[in-house]
Amino acid sequence: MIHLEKKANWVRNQVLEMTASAKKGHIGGAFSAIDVLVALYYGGFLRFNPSEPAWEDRDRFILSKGHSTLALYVILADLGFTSWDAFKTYGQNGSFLGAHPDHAIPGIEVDSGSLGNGLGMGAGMALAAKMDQKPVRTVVLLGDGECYEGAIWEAVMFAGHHGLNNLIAIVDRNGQCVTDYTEDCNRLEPFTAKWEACGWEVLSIDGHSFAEIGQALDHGRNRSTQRPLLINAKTIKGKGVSFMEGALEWHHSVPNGEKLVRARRELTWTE
Amino acid sequence: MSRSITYRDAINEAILQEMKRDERVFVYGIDVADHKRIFGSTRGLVETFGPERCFSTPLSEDALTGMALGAAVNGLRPILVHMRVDFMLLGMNQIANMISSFRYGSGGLVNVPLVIRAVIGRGWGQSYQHSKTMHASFAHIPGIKVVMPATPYDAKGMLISAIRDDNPVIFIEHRWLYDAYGEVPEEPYTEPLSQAKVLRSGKDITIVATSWMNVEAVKAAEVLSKAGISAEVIDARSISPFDETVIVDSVKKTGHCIVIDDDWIHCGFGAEVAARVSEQCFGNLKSPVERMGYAATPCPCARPLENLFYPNAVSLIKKIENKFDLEPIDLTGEDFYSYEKKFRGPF
Repeated sequence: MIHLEKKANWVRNQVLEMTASAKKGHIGGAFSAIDVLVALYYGGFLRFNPSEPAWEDRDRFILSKGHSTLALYVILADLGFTSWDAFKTYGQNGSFLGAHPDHAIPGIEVDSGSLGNGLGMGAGMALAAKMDQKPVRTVVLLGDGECYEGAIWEAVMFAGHHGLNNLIAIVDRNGQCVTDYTEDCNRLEPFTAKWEACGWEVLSIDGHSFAEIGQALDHGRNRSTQRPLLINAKTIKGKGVSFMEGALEWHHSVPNGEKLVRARRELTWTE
Repeated sequence: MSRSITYRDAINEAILQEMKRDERVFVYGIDVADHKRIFGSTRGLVETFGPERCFSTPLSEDALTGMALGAAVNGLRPILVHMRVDFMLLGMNQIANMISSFRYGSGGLVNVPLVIRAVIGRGWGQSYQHSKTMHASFAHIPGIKVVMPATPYDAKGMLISAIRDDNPVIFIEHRWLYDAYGEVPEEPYTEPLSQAKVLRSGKDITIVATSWMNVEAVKAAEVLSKAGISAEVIDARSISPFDETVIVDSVKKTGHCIVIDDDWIHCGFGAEVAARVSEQCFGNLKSPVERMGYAATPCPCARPLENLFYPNAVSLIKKIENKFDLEPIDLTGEDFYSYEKKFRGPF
């Protein structure tokens, strides 16, 4: 477990530095999703091959909340999908690493960031895997603000109806959208009951606890049900840096000066 | 009294004055009341009118658009704002299947007084989901008015007309125009939603432009005048309804017509202008009507490709040089507009 925590801390540091140097990035939503991403990629859940990104039997991962892509770039570079040299060009002229995921980047399945589209695509991939009788799992990471989009709920019903038990949706339930708290902007609760009503199995976990994320993913690996699985990961936007945590302005603010120094200090790893 | 204000402030003032005049008017949409206030255009509204008449909404465009229809047919006058037209397409079912035909379906008994403001245009590097214009697509649907003012004066006058109109109006604003200054009367006034307007008079060629392309066209006309070409620039302004009278009169005078449109060429507004001019100026035309616009590709992200994708003053000048078989005009020392070098007006 400690290696995952350490890795997540390292990813947060990289995201912080790249946001500061490129002067762009959605740091708050990246920080809330990093522990889930690290667990998926380093915890042995997702099956992939960095030297063969298009391997046919790979698990499919869709970062539907594409604004958090900087965290995914760090992980893909670390795992060898892209080089560190390429990663360091993020946000610069000439770079192929833009502010949102692009399927031209090795390891990224689909363009995303236009919110509301990921779960529908994921449901299609899961359905395709079933039709092809492939042991492929599809995981879609959604933002909770993204769940305002009607298209999400159309996909939720579709997946439930078709018994897509090879589909896992993880919602980064940090309780915030761009400029507001979700329960103030447009109430999402009772959130998980809506998924359950559409035929999904639901697990609610602490999205910053590797023990809980790991248990949920283990469960996702060994299920006998026909239902798709929602992992409702309760998280904190800006997790890891005290002044960013739960603060609306850190959706896409760029840390500099004293704020950057403080963030670096708070993200210093101590054994 | 008239004074010089920006396009952004002209829009803001139109909404403010109309909300003061008519308590049925309200404004809403994603980020309408957030700290950036739709590039500043909804500034001060929530402070003046409170959150009941100015409020931000979640990402649920289809529902938001339906809500505008519901409010409008029940006596209110909603203004729905989309910071990017690209995501307005999520409400296209409501627009194309419900809003546009509601009055028709009621046998003319029910008015649909709503305005949908759509911000278009590029920052730079914004690629294919942040830079569409879509006016031709909207204008293709009967029952909706589609306007795209280019000047601060028109922005205010046409927005007031749109708010007072009893029909749905899609009001399209290019981001790069927001910093342009122009003379705008303080008091409320209306501008027609159906007439093109001559921005610059000329006698040798008619350039019909939409939205930001008016800036490029006027700049091109200035440069061309040094080479002895007198270009008339016409701001189409109203895509639907489209009254071609001003354009037809101009082409009858000049004999040449180029349309420079802020949209894809294929099946676009330029084709509509070309068809009407061909029909009505057949004997007067000295050359075929030409169209400039976007290539049939999604908007690219890289700057060099973007520069090729968008028509501009330089490509327009080249086009007209070819048409008149001119020697290439020396463009050194000419200052063209870009993301970094904003047009600040006046026209």
